[in-house]
Amino acid sequence: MSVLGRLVSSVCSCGSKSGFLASVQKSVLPTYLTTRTYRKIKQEEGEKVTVIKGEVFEDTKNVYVEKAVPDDPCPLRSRGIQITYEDVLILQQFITSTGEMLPREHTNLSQQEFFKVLTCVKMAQRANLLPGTEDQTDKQGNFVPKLNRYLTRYDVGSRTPIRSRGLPYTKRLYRIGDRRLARDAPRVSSRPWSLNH
Amino acid sequence: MSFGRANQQWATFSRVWHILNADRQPAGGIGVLVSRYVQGLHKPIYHPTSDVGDHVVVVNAKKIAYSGNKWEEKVFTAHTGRRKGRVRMQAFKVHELDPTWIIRRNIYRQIPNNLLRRTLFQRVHVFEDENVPAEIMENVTNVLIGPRPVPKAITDYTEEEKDSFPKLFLRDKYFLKS
Repeated sequence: MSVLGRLVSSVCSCGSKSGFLASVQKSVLPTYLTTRTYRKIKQEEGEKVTVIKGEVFEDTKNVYVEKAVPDDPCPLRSRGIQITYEDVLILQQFITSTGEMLPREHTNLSQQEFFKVLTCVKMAQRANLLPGTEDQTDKQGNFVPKLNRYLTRYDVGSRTPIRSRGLPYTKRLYRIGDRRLARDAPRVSSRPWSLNH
Repeated sequence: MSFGRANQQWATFSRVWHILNADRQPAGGIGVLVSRYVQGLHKPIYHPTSDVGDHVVVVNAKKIAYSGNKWEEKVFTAHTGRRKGRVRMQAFKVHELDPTWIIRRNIYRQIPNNLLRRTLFQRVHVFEDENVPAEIMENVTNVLIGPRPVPKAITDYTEEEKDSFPKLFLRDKYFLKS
């Protein structure tokens, strides 16, 4: 829940000759407010007139979680959260409605976490968990049918077919998932994620 | 109902019909699961020569899922025996021509290479849609669960769940992109 007030005891030095230091308790508000007013653009078209308004509304359904490490600006690293491609409710917060990523200056993600979120979002879009990809075309421009897939790290039309996979000791394997995510992603068993099939 | 010895025998050795939804399931995992039920390995009375296997109906075969970029990278090869008879096709093209081919191939190869394989494979019924003929649906009594737990899409969550989920950062007042 939101914390609106915080009591901080600050020592105030008066410039008096007697050297009397008075300790004053100040009620200092935090640097942020957990409920916030946002702005929205609304467009109404009449017969001859179009009205474009800028509206201010308050987000009352805000449930903000405090950080475990308050100095860290990154929202994921400060709370110790590790992501997989299935965590759609977390990934949706870093995305616009069309499926593009919000800029890093706005969300305050660190560079490593930003790339983790990027790959997870791309994988979720290709698995049809998030909105984003509707039309898929090959490198030559041919239409690729929409098929069910999961853990697709690379772009749909970007990989060439593997005709000869080789001998058992030098086999060329299919790449699945991302290595940076598999290194940090949560797992119950001690067996690592399988990245090559 | 009289529970004599003959009835007990017929009840233990009766053949059960199972149904499996292949929507968003991996092709290899389905082969392993179906071959197990078709041979009868899920029964304590199993023996290879006593005819203990069950029927399995696989539904939604065209909605199968491959992990990674296998739809483009995986190549199926065949040779007709004649000159210039080598055929190499990517997985999505094969799926276009015959949506049931990939599943049937995986199931057939998972059953052991016996003289029993062809008879057991006749007890596997694969359909690309959910349109199953009534003669087969009459017999089905059990539902099998696929090997992969399917994750939830964002459209599957209700509005309340989305709103009550906690937020990780606060948006800037002047940032207008939604």
